[in-house]
Amino acid sequence: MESSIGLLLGGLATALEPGNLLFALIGCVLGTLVGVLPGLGPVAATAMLLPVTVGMAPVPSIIMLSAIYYGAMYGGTITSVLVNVPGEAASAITCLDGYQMARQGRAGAALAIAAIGSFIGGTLATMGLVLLAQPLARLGLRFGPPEFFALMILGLSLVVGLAGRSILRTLASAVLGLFVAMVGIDPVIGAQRYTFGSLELLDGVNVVVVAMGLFGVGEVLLNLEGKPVRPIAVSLGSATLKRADWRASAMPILRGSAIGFVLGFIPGVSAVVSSFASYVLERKLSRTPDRFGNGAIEGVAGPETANNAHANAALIPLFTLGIPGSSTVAVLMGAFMMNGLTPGPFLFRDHADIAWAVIASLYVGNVILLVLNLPLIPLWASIMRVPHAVLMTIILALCVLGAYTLESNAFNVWMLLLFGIIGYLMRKLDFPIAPLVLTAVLGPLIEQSLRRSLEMSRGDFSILFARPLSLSLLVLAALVLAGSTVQAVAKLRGADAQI
Amino acid sequence: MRRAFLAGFATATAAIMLPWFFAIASAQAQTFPERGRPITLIVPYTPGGGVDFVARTTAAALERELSVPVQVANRPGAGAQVGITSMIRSRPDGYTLAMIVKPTVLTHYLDASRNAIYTRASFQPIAHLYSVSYAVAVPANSPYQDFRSFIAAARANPERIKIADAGLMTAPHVMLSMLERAAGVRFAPVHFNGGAPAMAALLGGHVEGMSGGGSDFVPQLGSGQIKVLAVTADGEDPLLPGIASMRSMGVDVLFNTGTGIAAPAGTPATTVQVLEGALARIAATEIWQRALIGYGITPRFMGARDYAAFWLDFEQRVGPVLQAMFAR
Repeated sequence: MESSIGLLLGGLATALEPGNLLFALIGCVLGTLVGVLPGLGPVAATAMLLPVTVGMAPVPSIIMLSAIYYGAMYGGTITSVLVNVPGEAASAITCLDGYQMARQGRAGAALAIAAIGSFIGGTLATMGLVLLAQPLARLGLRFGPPEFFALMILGLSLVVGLAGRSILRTLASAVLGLFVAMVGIDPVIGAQRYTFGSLELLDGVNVVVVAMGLFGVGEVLLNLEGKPVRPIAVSLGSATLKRADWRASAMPILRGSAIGFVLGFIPGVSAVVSSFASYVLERKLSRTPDRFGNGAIEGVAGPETANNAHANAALIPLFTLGIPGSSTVAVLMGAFMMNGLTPGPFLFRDHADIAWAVIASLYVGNVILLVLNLPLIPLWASIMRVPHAVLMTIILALCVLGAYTLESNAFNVWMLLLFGIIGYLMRKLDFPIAPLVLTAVLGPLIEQSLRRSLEMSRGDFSILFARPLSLSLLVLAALVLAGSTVQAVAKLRGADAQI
Repeated sequence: MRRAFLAGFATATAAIMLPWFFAIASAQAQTFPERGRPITLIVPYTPGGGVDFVARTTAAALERELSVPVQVANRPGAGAQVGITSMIRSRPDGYTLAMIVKPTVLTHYLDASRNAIYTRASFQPIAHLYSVSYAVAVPANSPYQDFRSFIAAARANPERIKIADAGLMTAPHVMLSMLERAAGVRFAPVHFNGGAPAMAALLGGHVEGMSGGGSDFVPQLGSGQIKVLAVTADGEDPLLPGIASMRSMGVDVLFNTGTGIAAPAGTPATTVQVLEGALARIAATEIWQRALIGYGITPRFMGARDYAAFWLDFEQRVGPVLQAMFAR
C-alpha cells in the first residue's frame, strides 16, 4: 500500500508538469461549457475530441479527456441551479432545491456547495480508487443480472422517499415514468411497444429530453401565467457559505461520497441512481424534511457530491478489469487504446508511470475545477438579475437547442414540448416531478436486468431469490418500502383524504 | 423619391449580382464538390464507439482531400434505422453520406415489421472502410479450454450454455446464430447492452461464454482473464493472433461485419468517383491506418464496385440466418 502511494506521488509530479496542467485546465473549461449547454453531454464532447488527440502524447490527451468528463458533471449543475434545466439526468434532482435556492437569492451558495461537494466526493473516490480498486472491482463483478435487478428495485423503492404532500400523487408520477420507459423496441424479442409506427420512438423516449421538458419548459409555462416573480437582488457575496450551511452540508457530503462511490464501481449503474439515493437519504435523515423542495442546501450538497464520486469510481472497473462502466468511460478507454495502452490489471505493470499520472491527474482536475469555478460563481449567479421575460426566453432557447443537438433530431423538440406541457400540468395539479424522472431512468434497467436474469434461468424466477446478494438487496428494498410507506402514510393521510 | 431610389438600387444590385449567380450555376453543373459547400457524413449512432471514431477520423482527412467542410452528424435511433433513413431521404447529390454497418442495415430491410423505406437497391455504395471479425471466449478458468469441447458441451446440453452477446440482433448475436446453425447446437443467449456489460458478466461468472468483436477481447485476453476459443475470420484475426478460426476446426462459420460509406442511389457516377478516389487516397495513408489499428479496428478498403459486390454476397450468406432469427 505504501508503494501505491509512492507511485501516486510520482504520478502527481507528472500530472503537475506545466504541459499536462494546461491540458487539464483546457479540459475543465471545455467540460464546464459542455455541461452548461444542455444536450451536448460529456459522451458527445469526449467522443468528438477523441480524433483530435490522434498524434498527441498519451498522458496529456487522456488528462484532457478525463477533465472534460468531470467538468461536464459540474457544468450540468450550473444550469440545474440557475435555470431549472438539468443538463444531464444525474443533475435533475439538483433542480428541486438548487433552483429554489436560486429563486431565494442563494444561487451562489448552491453553486459553491455543489463545487465543494463535488471536489470532496471526487477526492474521496480517487483515494478509494488508489487504495481499494482491486477488491472493489471483484465485488463489482458479483453484480450479475439478478443482483443488478435487485439493486434497481432498491432504487425504485426510493420513489416513496420522494413523496411530497400526497403519496398517491407520487406513485402516479412514478407509474407515468415507468410507462414512458416502456416505449420503444423491447430488449428481448424485439417487439415494438407504443411506437405508433414512428421510427423515432423505436429507441424509446430520451430521458434527458423528459427531464428538460418537465423541469425547464414546465417552469417556463408556469411563468407564462403572468404572475411575474420579482427578480431577486443577488448580492455578489452570496457565494459565501454561512456557518449554518457548512453544518448542514458536512454530513450530506460525506454520505453522498460514500453512496456515489459504492454505486459507481458497479459497472452499468447510472449516476442518476446515486444522486437520487443521496437526496432521498438526506431527506429521510433530516429533522426538518419539509425544507426539502424549498431550497434546502443539503438537497444540493448530497446529490452533487454523489454524482461526482460516482463519476470517479466508475473508472475502477476500467483500470482494474479493462471494462468501461459507462459510455463516457468507454470513450476514455478508446483514448487509452489508441495510444497503445490496454486498460486492465496489466496497465499498472506495463505502463505504471502513465497509469499513475492519469489517476493523479483526476485529483489535479478536481482541484482545478474547484479553483476555476469558485471565483466564477458570482458571474454565473448574476444571470438571475436578467429580467424575468428575457431569462424565460433564454431557458426555452436552451431547452430547444439541447433537445435538438442531443440526436440532431427535430423530433426530440416535439417531445420536449410534450413533456413541458406534462410538467406544467403536474405542477398545477401538485404532482411531484422527480419520481417520473427516476422511474423513466430505472424502468429500462429493471426490465433489461429482469429479462436477462430470466434468460439465464430459462424463465425461472427463483434465480432472483436463490442468490444471496440478490436476495439481501430485495429484502432491503422490501424493508425500505415498508418503512417509508408506514411513515409516509401516517404523515400524509390528511392530504390523501382530500382526493 | 425614396421608392425610386430603392428601385434603382435593386436594379443595380441585380445587375452586379447576376453574372455571379450564373457563374455559380455553371460551376454546379460541372464540379463536385462545389467550393465551400459542406458534405454531411451521417453517423447513425451516438458519439463514441468504433463507427463514430472512424467517421470522424475519415471526415477530417476528407476535408483536407476535397477542400470543403465535411461535418459528422450523429443521428442515432432505432438501431441505426433513423440515421440511415435520413440519408436515404436526402438528395442523391453526394453531399449527404452515411456510415453503413452490415449486418445492421440488413436487419432493417429484411424485417418487414420495421417498415424500412429502403432496400439494398436504395444505396449507392461508395467505399468500404473496415471489417470486424468475431470470436467466442470463455473465462480463463472455464471447463471448456478449447473450441471442440465447448461445442461438444453445447451439443450435450442444449440451451444450457449461457452466452453473453451485445444485444438482440447485434452482430455478436447474429454470429452466435450462425454458429448454432453451422454446428447444429443451441446456446442460451443472454442479451446485454453492448460489449462492455457482456464482458463484465463473463468475468463475473454469470455466463459461460461471450460472443463479441475482436477488439472486445483484447484487454482481457492480454491480462489472461479470458481465453478466446475461436475466431470467425477466414484465417487469423490480426487483433487476436494465434487463435484458430472456426472454419479450421470444422465448423463452417465465416462472418465479418463490414462498415463503409454510402450515398442514396441515383448519385451521379462522376460524384461517386470523386468521393471514392478521395477515400482511396485517405485509406492508403499511414496516419489513417495507424489511427484505426490503434483503436482496435482492422482497415479493409474496397472501392464502390467491390463494395457493392461484397454487399450482395453478404446479403446472400447472412440474409437467410437473419430471416430465421426474425421468424423465431
